Amino acid sequence: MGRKPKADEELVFNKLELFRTKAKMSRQQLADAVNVHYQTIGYIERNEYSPSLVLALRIAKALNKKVEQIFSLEDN
Amino acid sequence: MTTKKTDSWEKRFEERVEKGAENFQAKAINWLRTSQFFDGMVNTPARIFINTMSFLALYVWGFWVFATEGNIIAWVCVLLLLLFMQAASVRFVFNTEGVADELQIQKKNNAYRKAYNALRVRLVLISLLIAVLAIWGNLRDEIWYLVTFSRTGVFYLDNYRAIFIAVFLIALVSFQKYFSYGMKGEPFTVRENSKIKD
Repeated sequence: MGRKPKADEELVFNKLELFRTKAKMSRQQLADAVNVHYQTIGYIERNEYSPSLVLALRIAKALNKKVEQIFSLEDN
Repeated sequence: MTTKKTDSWEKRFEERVEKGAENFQAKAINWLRTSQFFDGMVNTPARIFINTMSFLALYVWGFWVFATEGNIIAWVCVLLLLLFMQAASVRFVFNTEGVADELQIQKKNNAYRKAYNALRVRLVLISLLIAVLAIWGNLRDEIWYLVTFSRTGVFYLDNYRAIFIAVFLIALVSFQKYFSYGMKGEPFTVRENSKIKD
């Protein structure tokens, strides 16, 4: 029942899966690092959920990246 | 001097107890958040099963209990069991503060919103039904027999049925948020299996 972004909502795209796999982290490990449920990471990776700014910052910190490297408004 | 010593001992004891309680709470919340103990109940098939059982118990068995004045104790026990299963299947997001992360909190809030709307609609429909039956029954001088299988009176409401209605309303409000949470649960994949994809 994840929140599927509606068409008229602004989508936030991300390269979370790419950076997570590069960092050789499982979803669970990243989830533990940012203090969320592992499923939440899956929802974000599938663009079914746009994380809050706090969570985005925590994820970026855990992956040692800048937020804008992971999240963007364009799908590129 | 002695009073001062006692005060400081009491303070230290109080602090220790508070710290212990905080640690215990943190451990309990962490366990609830990460435990695989309830994983069998949180996947989609389990949620469908639990929701179906809850619906049948609440409405079908409930109607039977109301109409026939059947065993209300057994009905209540089963409802309580199903309520616990519902709570476990959504990882207790409605019950314990601090267990849920932001996505789960959002899902919880959505469920509350949907449940509120659903209850509002149901209550309006039930009120309308009562009004229609009352007016129609007044005209025909035979009210409620459709519902109670009895032509004995307008609100054939003995103590038993009054208790039933109270229990039903509490159960309806308790279950509705779980129904509104949706059927979709977590995938079967356990955390250890959500491996790194290359």
